[in-house]
Amino acid sequence: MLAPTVIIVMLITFTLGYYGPIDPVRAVLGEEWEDETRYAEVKKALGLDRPFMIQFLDYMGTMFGGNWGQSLAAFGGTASDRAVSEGRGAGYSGTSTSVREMVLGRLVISAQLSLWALVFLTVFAILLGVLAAVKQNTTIDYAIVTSSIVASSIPAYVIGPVLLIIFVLKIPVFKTVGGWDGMFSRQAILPAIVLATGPMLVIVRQTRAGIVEVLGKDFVRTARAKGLPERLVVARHMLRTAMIPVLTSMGLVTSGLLTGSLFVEQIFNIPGIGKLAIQTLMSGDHPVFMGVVLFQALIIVTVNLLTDLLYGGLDPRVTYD
Amino acid sequence: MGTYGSSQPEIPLTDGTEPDQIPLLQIRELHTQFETKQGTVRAVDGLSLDLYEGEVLGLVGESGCGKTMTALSIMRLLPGNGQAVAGEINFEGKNLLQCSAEEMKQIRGGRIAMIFQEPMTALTPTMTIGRQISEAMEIHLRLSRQEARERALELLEHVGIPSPRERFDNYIHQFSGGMRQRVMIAIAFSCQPRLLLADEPTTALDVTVQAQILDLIKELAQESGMTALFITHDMGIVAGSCDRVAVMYAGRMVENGPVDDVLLNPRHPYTQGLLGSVPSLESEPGDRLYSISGLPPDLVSLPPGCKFWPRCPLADDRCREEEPVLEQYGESRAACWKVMPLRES
Repeated sequence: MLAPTVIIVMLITFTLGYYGPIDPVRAVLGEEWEDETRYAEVKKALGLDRPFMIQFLDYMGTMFGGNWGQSLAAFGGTASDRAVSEGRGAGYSGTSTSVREMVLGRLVISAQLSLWALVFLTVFAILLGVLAAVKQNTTIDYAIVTSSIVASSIPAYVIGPVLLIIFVLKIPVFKTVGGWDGMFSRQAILPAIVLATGPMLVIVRQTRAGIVEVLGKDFVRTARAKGLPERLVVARHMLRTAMIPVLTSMGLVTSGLLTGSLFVEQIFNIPGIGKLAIQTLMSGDHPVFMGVVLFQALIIVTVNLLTDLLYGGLDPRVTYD
Repeated sequence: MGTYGSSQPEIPLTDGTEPDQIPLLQIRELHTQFETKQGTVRAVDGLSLDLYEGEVLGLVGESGCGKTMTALSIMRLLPGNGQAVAGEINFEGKNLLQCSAEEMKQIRGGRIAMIFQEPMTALTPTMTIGRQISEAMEIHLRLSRQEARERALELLEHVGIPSPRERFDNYIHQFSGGMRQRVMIAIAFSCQPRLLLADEPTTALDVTVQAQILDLIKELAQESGMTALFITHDMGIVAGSCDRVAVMYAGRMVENGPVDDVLLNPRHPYTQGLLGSVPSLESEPGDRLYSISGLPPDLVSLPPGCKFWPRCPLADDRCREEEPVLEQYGESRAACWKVMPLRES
């Protein structure tokens, strides 16, 4: 499943890149692009004068070869300087123009941010979902569901600045506004919370629905008939069964967090993969942008696979042949 | 508790009859109701029942007559908005209907255990069967996890599950119906409760397995001198396993007494009908099986008078207007204006 998916994704991204509006030659030459001889020279140097299929096979070779090509910065030029300086950004040390190192360096930062967001989600969203289900159709239930709707409907580019105004300007809990200083720095807290608010509603709702569904089951009655405290009835007998649909959403959410932290990284000036995508798109650093897109596709495929494997951990009836 | 005992008629202590002692479980005028859009469903309607130490009482009746709801009222585990709105359930000096949630947790599993009908759905699919057995002992007997595990292994062996050590960490989908019910029985007996409520424990099983499971429950109950309430619609189980029998219809008791007496000399036409529906060895091939005509009454709008009259072949005007109460007839009691004449023996 994995290999054909990856090849199809590569073909699609490559085709879009080939016919897309970004002209790598222009990006390298900057102002000089109107000079036809220079244009042809650079085009040949980049190998862009070859037919589509040859270019695609060459691209696949580079990708599977493991170095993923070079940033346009390697070819010099004005626009490429911009690509290098912005493409790396804060938190990324090294002067490499290798696409692999640029993408992986950024991905580590995005992954840390997403991990925090996931921790917030698993702790708060699942807890709130369970609470809402157990207190079904009471004020507590309504309050939890309503506030998650509110939290999830406000876009990150609104919540982000609002939180910045409150916690940096009004009540100075955090001194610095943006940037990245490692996973365990205070700067990581606000962006992770903002990132977690988006999928909050989905997880709260799924958890609530999952628990409500098992509430009336015979095995829950058996657990109560043993005289277990309600806390143990929920934790031992209901949660695992109820978590199966939640895990599905969690998988989708994780892919979304890793690939969709665009706004949050932009607002908080975090040099993650989302920011790299925006920068390279703007600067026309075609090889790096292609690397980002391909890598995000890979993430989605991998997370899906991991989710499938985790089902077996939750539900003993799932076996893998 | 003793208030009713004095007004009770004196009955000699014989096998199968009500012993002259304070009952272990005493249900008085229990009313259990559900509020629905159609109206109030009277699932249990003024039921009184005594269960004496060491006896096995069979509670019989058609589906929907309130047997299961009686047991769930005792456990205080009624589904949805079901509620025991009136009456008393006295057990070990406490009225269970007035116990706090904390007290009920001590009683459930610890003092009163229940075996459920559906072994397919009544056990948690995502937890090993070993843990499902041992967890109650950690709470009620205050055993450590390791001690509870050892006890659970003994119990598994005792209820007839081969190689318990390997089976301990299995999940319920790896067990057959009969094996699941054995696990259920192990859970019920794990904390040595005084009272066992068995709600149709064999209905969902194959006939051959039914007998094994019944024997197992009887054997374990006798070993520990446990009192048991057997809920069933199977007269064969009543005849084979119970000391006394109580027949329920439309949420109330219509007849009760020693098993031999009730089965041989049923006083109530409904009991007669139930017994008539059991195929007998004397019947010829091609004989039609007797069935009680009509359906059980709608529990939202019960008929006036005797609740059985619309289906009763003997009903007259008095039955339609006046509700009969339980009266003593020989060793048994029945609530009927047209009590069957005793069969000559």
